[in-house]
Amino acid sequence: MTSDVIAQFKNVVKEYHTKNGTTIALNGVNLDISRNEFICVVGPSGCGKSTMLNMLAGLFPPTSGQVLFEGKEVEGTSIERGVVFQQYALFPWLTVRKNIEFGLKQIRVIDSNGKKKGLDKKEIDTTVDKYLNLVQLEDFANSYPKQLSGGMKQRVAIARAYAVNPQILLLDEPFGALDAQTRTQLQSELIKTWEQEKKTCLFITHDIDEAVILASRIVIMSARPGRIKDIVNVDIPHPRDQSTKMTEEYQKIKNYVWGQVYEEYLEVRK
Amino acid sequence: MSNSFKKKKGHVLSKWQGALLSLVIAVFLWWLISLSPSGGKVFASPMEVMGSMMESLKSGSLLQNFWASLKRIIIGFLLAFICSLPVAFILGWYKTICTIVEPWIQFLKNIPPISYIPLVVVAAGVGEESKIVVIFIACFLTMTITIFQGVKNVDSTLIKAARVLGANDFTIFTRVVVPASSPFIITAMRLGLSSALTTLIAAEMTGAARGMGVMIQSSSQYFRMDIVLMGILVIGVLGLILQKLVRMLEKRVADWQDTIVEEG
Ligand SMILES: Nc1ncnc2c1ncn2[C@@H]1O[C@H](COP(=O)(O)OP(=O)(O)OP(=O)(O)O)[C@@H](O)[C@H]1O
Ligand SMILES: [Mg+2]
Repeated sequence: MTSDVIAQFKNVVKEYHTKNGTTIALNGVNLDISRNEFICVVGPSGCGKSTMLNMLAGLFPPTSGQVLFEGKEVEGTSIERGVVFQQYALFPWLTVRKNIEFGLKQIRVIDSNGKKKGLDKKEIDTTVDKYLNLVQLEDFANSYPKQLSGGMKQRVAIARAYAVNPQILLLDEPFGALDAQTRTQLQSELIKTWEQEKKTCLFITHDIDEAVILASRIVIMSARPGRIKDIVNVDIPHPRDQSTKMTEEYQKIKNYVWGQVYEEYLEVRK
Repeated sequence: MSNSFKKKKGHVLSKWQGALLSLVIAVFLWWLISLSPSGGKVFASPMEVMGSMMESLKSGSLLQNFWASLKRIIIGFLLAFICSLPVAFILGWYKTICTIVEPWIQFLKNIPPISYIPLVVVAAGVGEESKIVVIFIACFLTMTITIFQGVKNVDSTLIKAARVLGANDFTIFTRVVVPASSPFIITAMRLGLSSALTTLIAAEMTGAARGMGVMIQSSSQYFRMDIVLMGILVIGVLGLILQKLVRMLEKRVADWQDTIVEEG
């Protein structure tokens, strides 16, 4: 089912050249991402997870190899590939509503006269309302980011990424800065959203529990220079919720992934 | 109760009461100094100063001088503001231009603007233009440097966030870089106005028919310390009013900030 592949990494190598020499962040990464998959990437710090995600986002190209999206080489950013950053990256001078609107306002469609134009205000408003509702922030539509908690900010960032309806969502440790409770809550919300929309996701995390509860596949990276060490299918059926963590399957997968990641952690310590 | 919070003493005064009290004490201290034999030579008493203020208000000379100075400040400042915005943004946006021009600015910013006065007088004469040019130079350098800092420090994740949401360079500039720098623009205005006031008096002393600087200097030649003091006070009050106006603008355009950027 090759047609179902939405994004591909082919022999991807990424080197960073700095004053202090060259860092090989990724050294030959091969990965196919299928449509409607939820992929979690785990691995030791510095193994190149963010590098992978940013290349698929189109923020910079690989040193060698190819990053493909819908069969075409990625050449810059696109609203087809939404990104949620760890540091929220909300525009502090815009209200919640205006933040979510931002991407929608960039969209240009061809009207009946063949002219390019923006979306109707009504259409934008309806979409924003829908996603405000999805992340339960209707009451905060007119608040500024500084007035929100970390969890609420990340909800806005997720809504903002969803609103432009990208083909794939790239999330780089989106819950990394949140407390455990908020984190579980946002995980549950994300699971629900995925169960409804089946939006393809590439989700980076340090948290193995988070990876197992969210993912349909877990990609385990080896220590730097990053390569893919193992890929684990998570065959736990949906709908999932926090009680899924009690099941035997869950524990088995978690233990396996943990063992693999721990090996790499020891590798880093050496 | 040992673990209760200790109440801070004071805070029985409202903001306005505090300001009034502060003013009353200042005037009282001033009055004391004017009574002392050595201080009295320089400091006319508050009553004298009020008297001469009334007099010059009646004769219209105060308003004429004040208006002449205010006009120079406003024109010099506005011209500088209009020019510093694009210059600062171009410097922040284009790396190559920045590499070439930034050292110039770093060099120029250490030179007190009043040292250009002789140059300006030769170039532009002693007329109205030369005053405005000096104020312009003073404001322009300060404001360009401050706004440029703001543009340079725009959080790069915000630019990335805009880019992945489909924004092109123009949109990133107008919708991200400009608003992200707006706190610095406000700070630049505040610093620019201070520079304008500082430079004004010196510029006017190069010779002018009217202006607060002229008023102060000519009165000092007749030892009319009451008028000198009044002129200084009026400039101080003008400074306060201008800063207050910028503060109000800040509340309108940069209210989203966590913290207000404070100048050093
Ligand atoms: N802009 C850069 N310039 C130079 N080196 C970089 C740059 N970005 C990343 N690196 C290096 O590349 C390697 C991989 O970085 P990357 O951020 O992709 O790791 P990561 O797996 O996301 O780590 P973490 O889990 O800590 O976020 C690291 O060793 C890092 O130091
Ligand atoms: Mg990372």
